[in-house]
Amino acid sequence: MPIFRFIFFSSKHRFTHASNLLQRFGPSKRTQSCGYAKSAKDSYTKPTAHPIMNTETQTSRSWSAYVVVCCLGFLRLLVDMYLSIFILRMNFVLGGRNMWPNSYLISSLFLQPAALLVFGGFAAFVHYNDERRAIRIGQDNSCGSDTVAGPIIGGPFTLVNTEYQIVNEQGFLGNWVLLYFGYTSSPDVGPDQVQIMANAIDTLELEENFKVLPVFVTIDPQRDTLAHLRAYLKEFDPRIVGLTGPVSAVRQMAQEYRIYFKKVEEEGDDYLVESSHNIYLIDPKMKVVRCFGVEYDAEELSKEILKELKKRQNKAD
Amino acid sequence: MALETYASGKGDEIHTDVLLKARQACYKARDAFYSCLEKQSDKKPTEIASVGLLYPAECKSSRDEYVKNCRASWVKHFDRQYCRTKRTHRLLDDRETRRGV
Repeated sequence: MPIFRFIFFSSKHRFTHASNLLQRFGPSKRTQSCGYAKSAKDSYTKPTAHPIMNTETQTSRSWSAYVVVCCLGFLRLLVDMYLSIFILRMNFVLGGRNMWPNSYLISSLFLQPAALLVFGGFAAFVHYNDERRAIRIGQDNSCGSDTVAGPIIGGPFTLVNTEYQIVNEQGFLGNWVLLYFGYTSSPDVGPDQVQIMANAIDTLELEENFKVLPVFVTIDPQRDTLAHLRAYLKEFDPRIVGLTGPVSAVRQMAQEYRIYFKKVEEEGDDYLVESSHNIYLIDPKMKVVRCFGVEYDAEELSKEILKELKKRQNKAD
Repeated sequence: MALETYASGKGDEIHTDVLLKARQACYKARDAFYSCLEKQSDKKPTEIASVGLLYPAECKSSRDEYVKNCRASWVKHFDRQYCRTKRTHRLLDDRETRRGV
């Protein structure tokens, strides 16, 4: 009886010994996992020399650890199977008196090693997955946070400007553009945002000599006629380009730029338009770079625009 | 095409009541009315303004001035905003007098 206990415990001990081996090979404390798609192909396609631990030998060592664990597991299963067969035969030979009940034999000699093997296999798989996803420290610096792109906002549009000319997005290529979707009958937020835009444009032009074109697209084309739009925008800044058009064209453009707008408080002819008050910063290639909400005032806006410009210039150099 | 008819300049009226001067007059009247409300806050509000706002009869003249200078939808918008800020201030300042929460 004690012999079997001894064998049992020794086999368990062998498994923990194997897992210790595994932990020494696995440098889980020295990695950082960063993003999903990039790291998987990066950590195995470019194994560079690492100051603390060589990546190549690292991965090959961890492979050998898995192999060792699997071999030990199978070995243990084999041993236990033979043991169980031997014990069952002994049980049978020694006659009617059962040394141990069969259920105990079955559970201790079949299920337990099988369960341990399954668990060991699962742990090995999890560890392998971690290794595959992890990036060694000092290897991949771009964590994906500044290269990640949001949803692609923007698209082609065709509207009429306040000079009665038809413009589409090609006319704005080569300029930095600040785009705002609003309407002239806005009680407070609309005028505030347009004023902020005008102030920021002024600051940028006077201090940094950097021209940004402000564009105001009306989401209330039924009431904002072209002359009215021109008169309204002239009070803020003569450079602001006003755009309007038929309802379908405006709706199409608003959908492309992910702007929500809806008529509320309708009382006959008088209504307000609820909308998402965002100012978009668009680069010369007509790609939306940033989105500014109502919490930005004129100085912060100009600072942020300058930051974007500097980033673009640094990338180009 | 619809765009060409738009570009030809049909129906070009200018609504002057949202331009700068009108806006500023509206804001001034609105502020006058609300300050009247603050000053007379101990009087009982009897008159109905709009969207659930009540005001005492002393402020009736400033109310009329306010309504004259602003569009109806703007009046409702500002009244609603005023009620909301009033309510949050009441919730924030009332901690000592109310028991429980």
